[in-house]
Amino acid sequence: MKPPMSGAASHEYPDHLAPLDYPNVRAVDPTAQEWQSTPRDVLGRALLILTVVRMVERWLVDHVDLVHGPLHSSIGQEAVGVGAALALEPADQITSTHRAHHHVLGKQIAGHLPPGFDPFAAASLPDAVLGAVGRTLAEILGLAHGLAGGRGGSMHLADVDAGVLGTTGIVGGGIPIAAGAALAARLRGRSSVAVSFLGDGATSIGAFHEGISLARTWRLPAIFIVENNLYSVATTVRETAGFDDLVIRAAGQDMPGILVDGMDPVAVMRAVQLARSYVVAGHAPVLIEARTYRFYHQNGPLPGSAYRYRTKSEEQAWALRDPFTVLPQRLLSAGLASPDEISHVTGLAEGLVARAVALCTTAGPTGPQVPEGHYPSISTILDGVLGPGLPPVEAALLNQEPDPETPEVTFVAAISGTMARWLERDPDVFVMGEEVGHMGGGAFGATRDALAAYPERVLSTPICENGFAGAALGAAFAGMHPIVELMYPDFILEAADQLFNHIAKARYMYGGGRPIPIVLRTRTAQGRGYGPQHSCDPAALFGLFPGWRIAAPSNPAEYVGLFNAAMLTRDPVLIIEDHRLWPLRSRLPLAGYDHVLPLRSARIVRSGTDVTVLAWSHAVGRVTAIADRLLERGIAAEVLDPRWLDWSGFDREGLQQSVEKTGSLVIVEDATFSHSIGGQLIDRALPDLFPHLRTAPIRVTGVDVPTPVSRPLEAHALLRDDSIEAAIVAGARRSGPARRGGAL
Amino acid sequence: MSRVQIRMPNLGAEAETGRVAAWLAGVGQVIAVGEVVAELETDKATVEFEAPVAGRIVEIAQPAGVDVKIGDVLAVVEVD
Repeated sequence: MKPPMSGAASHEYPDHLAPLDYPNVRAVDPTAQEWQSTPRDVLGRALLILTVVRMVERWLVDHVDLVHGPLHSSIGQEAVGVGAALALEPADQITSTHRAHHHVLGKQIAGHLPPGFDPFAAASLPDAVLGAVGRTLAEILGLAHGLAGGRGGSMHLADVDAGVLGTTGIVGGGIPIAAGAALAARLRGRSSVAVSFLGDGATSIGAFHEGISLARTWRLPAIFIVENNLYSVATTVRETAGFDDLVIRAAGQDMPGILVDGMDPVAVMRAVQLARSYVVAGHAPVLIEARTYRFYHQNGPLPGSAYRYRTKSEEQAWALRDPFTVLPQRLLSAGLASPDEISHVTGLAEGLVARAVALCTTAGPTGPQVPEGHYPSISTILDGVLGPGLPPVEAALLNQEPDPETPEVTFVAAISGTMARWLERDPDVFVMGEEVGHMGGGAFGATRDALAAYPERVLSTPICENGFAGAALGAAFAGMHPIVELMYPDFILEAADQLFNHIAKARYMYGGGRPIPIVLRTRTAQGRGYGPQHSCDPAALFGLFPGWRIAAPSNPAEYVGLFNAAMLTRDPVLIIEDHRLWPLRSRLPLAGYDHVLPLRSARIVRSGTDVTVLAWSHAVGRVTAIADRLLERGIAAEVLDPRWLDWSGFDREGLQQSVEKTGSLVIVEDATFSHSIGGQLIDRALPDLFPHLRTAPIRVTGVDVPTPVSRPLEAHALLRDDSIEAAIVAGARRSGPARRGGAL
Repeated sequence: MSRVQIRMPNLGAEAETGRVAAWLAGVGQVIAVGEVVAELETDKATVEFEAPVAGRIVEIAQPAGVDVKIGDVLAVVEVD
């Protein structure tokens, strides 16, 4: 790919921006003339935002006791956030890191100032600016009126209206998310861009390469800004990367890279403007390295030298380049602003910050203090892990009676037809995963109908599970509703950071009110000799993370109803598809591909009085066949399919009613014992079930080993019919009075 | 004349106590604002402690090497 910005500037670079001898990579360093030709109102906004950010963080450092948790101040690095904010449009979106105050405040303030706003001349700031700064400060302090109601604090800030999709405490986490937001802009035909701020340390983590690979391969309108402050905590860039100029990582992606002075907001603004115009044109994403310095240690009120990994003299040299002092000096010396004008802007910032502080604290005997009433109420602690559930659904769509007029469909046809129906119904729905757009329907035929009708919304990804899982979250943040296919459940561990640290927690940690609509499909492969790394059952893993719903359909009709419910909740939902169900046929209900199965709606597959057998997915059919055989031996097992396995959707009342009747419980699942979700379910349900149980619950699972390949070993290791039958017989024998003196 | 108590500052989010590694000023000494009067340390960090007020030290409340809770008095300074 040709570099978009050919030719180096003709003047000499300062030492810290030495010319780079790499293709596609250049430095942006405005000449004095270019710098001074920046419109004066823009320079005024740079000064204003920079001053506000510094004063907010100065206040936080001075009142660190009021901050519960680490305080990662950006003091020293503000020019990166300020310059970028001035180059972006209000509709552009950003993700950022644990050190994000300058990015968040910059994007908020720049977006809330009207076009052409001139701080040198303005008598006051718009109210929206105070609102945003006040809510951000409140969030950093963990207050109820903070951006996330105090759930997220300093590291987890989101202000969607201002284009701040979310900051994350996980290094690199925001990179794939920004790629997803850029993907959403592309799919929706918007001209906005997505920016991910990241630290130098993040250029070594997988998410960096996965997220940028996605953006590069699809030429998404994304800008990745490495804020290189020379240290990841106490480890130097030389130690983490092996070289100094992180920008050359762009060469390996055949995308443009820009090196810029991160102490100069005007230089950063120009670099981001250049990158923005390039990525909006659809050429490729751009990587920017902004060389800067954090004046404090990783977090807290001390300089890095206190921890002995850098010297005071190094800190003093960088302090001379502090944008907080250099920017006003430069404005004065260039005759771009008078001392009175500088004072005026500083005064606007001071007044704003004082009012923001007053929104969060009151005067106490030893300084500002947070009134108890400002903290969130404990009564809200459970709110917003998931959404409220299904919206109102027409009764006709809930009717589960099979339609005798239509032919039976296979399980795979149900998957394919339901997804295509959603693509037809909602232009914000798209499908993403490895191979989903190839071979006429993906690796297993599940995307056949979707691909035939809407190929532009069926996206085959590179092999980067964490990358596209994060991209799904970014797209969901940006308003879309991705359906993601993970080819085998074991690959979930590749995507674990995005699935569990981000998607599972996003709704709650960003305040609880923002839907995270993502459906994740995965196909289990037990019994095919795929062995220890392709045979896992993922239910229990997802059960460990509140924030995910889990559906386990057992036949084609059930699939359609559960998939539709999954989409309608607009929550993250895992749908487990067992490959052995693929050829299974059933008739769809009268509402066809629109029918819906509600949450907490266990299905009684067989009614019985002797023992309750809880089973889902493929096990339902096996258990039912065994239960039918056992009737001849006088055992009446009740087969109950919970449909939903997460505790929020699990039908605890349905289970309790069944166990009240039978007095005995067997849980059957296609997982090794350690990967079984049955233990979680029993642990939660037992207090209600215990008075009705005559015997301990029995769990039937596979053997507790990594699934072996050899046919006989695998067959013995997986869930077996003889184990199921023995457990049902044992559960029935030891159950209620109805069995005493019976045929056994 | 009044007396001002100089207290153990917060040396970072993780530590609830700190220590005076060394006193660089003593009782009777006249100090200026910003003058380094002690080295403070936690298990992780060492930092020079600058006098927040000017005056004459009249009491050293914590000897070097002893764990001190954040906010406890380190020294007392007589100011004008």
